[in-house]
Amino acid sequence: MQLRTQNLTKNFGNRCAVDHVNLNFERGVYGLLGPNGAGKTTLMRMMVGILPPSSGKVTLDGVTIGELGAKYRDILGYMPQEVGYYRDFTAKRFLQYLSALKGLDPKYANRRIDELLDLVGLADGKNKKLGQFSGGMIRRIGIAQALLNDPRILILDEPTAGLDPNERIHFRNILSELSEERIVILSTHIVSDVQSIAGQVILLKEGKVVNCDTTENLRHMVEGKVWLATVTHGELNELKKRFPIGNVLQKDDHFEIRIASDSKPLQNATAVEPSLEDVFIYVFGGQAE
Amino acid sequence: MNLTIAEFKKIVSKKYVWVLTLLLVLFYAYLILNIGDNFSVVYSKRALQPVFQEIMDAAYDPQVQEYVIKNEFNVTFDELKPVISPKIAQTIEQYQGKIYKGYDVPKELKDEAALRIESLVERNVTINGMIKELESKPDTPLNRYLLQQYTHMPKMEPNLTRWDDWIDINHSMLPLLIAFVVILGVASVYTGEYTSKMHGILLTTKNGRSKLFWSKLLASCLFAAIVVIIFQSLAALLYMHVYGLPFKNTPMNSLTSFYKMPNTMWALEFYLRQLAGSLLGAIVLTAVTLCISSLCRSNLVSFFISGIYFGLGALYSLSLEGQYITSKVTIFADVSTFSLMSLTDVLGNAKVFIIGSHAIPTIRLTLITQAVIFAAALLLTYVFYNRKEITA
Repeated sequence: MQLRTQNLTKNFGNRCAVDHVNLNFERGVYGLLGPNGAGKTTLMRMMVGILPPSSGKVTLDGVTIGELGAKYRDILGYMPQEVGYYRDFTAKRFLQYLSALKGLDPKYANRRIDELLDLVGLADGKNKKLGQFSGGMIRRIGIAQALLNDPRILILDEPTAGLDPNERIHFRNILSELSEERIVILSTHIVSDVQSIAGQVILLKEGKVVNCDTTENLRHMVEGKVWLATVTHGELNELKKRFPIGNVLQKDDHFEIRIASDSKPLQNATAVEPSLEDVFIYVFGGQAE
Repeated sequence: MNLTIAEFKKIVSKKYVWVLTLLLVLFYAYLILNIGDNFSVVYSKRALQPVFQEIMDAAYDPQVQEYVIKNEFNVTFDELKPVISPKIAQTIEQYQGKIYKGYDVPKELKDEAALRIESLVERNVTINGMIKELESKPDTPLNRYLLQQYTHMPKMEPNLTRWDDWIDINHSMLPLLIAFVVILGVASVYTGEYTSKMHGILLTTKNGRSKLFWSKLLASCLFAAIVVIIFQSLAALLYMHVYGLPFKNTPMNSLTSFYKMPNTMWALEFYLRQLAGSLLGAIVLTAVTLCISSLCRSNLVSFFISGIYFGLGALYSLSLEGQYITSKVTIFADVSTFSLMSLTDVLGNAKVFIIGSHAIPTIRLTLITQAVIFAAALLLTYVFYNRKEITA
């Protein structure tokens, strides 16, 4: 199974949100990373077929997703950035409704719903109305609905936003288990979400793919370009204007900072082993979280 | 879970739909029940109903006709008494000494009986006059049509049957109420998906496009049909309570509002067609409202635009009623969804439009136009819903 985007472009008026994106997805987890406004959501919406591209196409094994129609949607699971829901529906009824839309057999659907509610930790709240759910619980329902049809292609837009640290770890473990036999694409601007589970990381900036590689290779890319330095408050403000700054750690009256720079930024700066977070700081100029 | 049932439940689970529907039902019932207390309802037609045949016979009696015409359609009961059936006077005398809300009942009944005989004679004279006039006019398609209709009109009757009131059920108030509730329920069918941000998820599911579209359509039509059944049944029950059932079928042209119209239909047939028109109109309105809903992003905007679509047709139609020719001025009113739901003007008045050498009943044009609107609305709904860009 091969999912491809070919010269995929989306313009909104004069603004180009996604610019000639060529990507190739096979089995595994892909992390789509970029700051807000990089075009992650637009790219994903085109990939799930709810936003027509201005040019280019998305194909599955050589056939456009438009031609595949219901066949493509049958193997697709999608969780949008903002999960929609009906306030008056209970969690179980909501998932039953979506099971019907996904064409699942009702008996199988009921079993699957119980499994998924258990998986996302909402088994106790299945008869509670969604209007009473917290933001985190709604995200979990969003994840459950995307998994209902056991999709071969799973596209998740900011799935961990609003989840607490425990929930995020739990969710990342779920995804790791799921990734064996399917394509999983998740977008995020939270580095730690992809660091541990994504086999491939796609860096997206201003609608363009900056890089697409494994976490390890991306880190190699910035080797010798990440520096650790101890500076005063005044120096820190000055450096912020000139370099992308990573972690800032206050130590007494000084600050220990990580700087992304092609050359040594300060006399006392020492080159350090880069992390994935440093890659983002280097690529996005401090815009990533 | 059956999708159509799920969609239907989504429509009827909205509390505001039920609350406003209940308020409208109460308002309608209050209006109709209030009518039941007036003299006309309590006495005039009910008291004279047993002598319906005698009054009719009197109007067709040459001696009575001659007397009424000679007195220029202005005669009293006492003047007619010697030449009409004594049974009429005997029936009225049963109410001797009875006063109702300040009305002297026998006196009012005498006036009513005289008026019925008098107006029946006048109607026959009018129709005969029209036939003679048409026979002398040039042989145009319209004149030919009118002559054919007037010469085949069923025998006129003395309008005591209560069909005036029953036909009036669907004149304006009921179509407006039904339309309001249908629009209220259906206007949010698609906008609700947009506002709840479910649109994106729905469109990425296997059945979230074609099948969901048909399920939403079926559920909305089912809702509209139930609204029509509820309101028509309620109206029938209220009218039965207030006026009683029409005791005898009667030609449409014996009714006060239609007596000059070239209509050869009978009242019961017309009423049944009104019920069918009410249902068909509600279905077309449902399709149009769904189309508007699929295009808008707000429930309120969808509700108002749908309301304007129906309301403009209703206002235009009501302001132009009472003619039997469809012209360039009236055509948009005649083919409106309101006209189909009411049928009072377009079918009750037996409206026609002239094409070449043919006079074609306007109702056919109304039906064709509404069928086209229905089909176009469905097509556009499908396109709007499936191609709506999800950018928010």
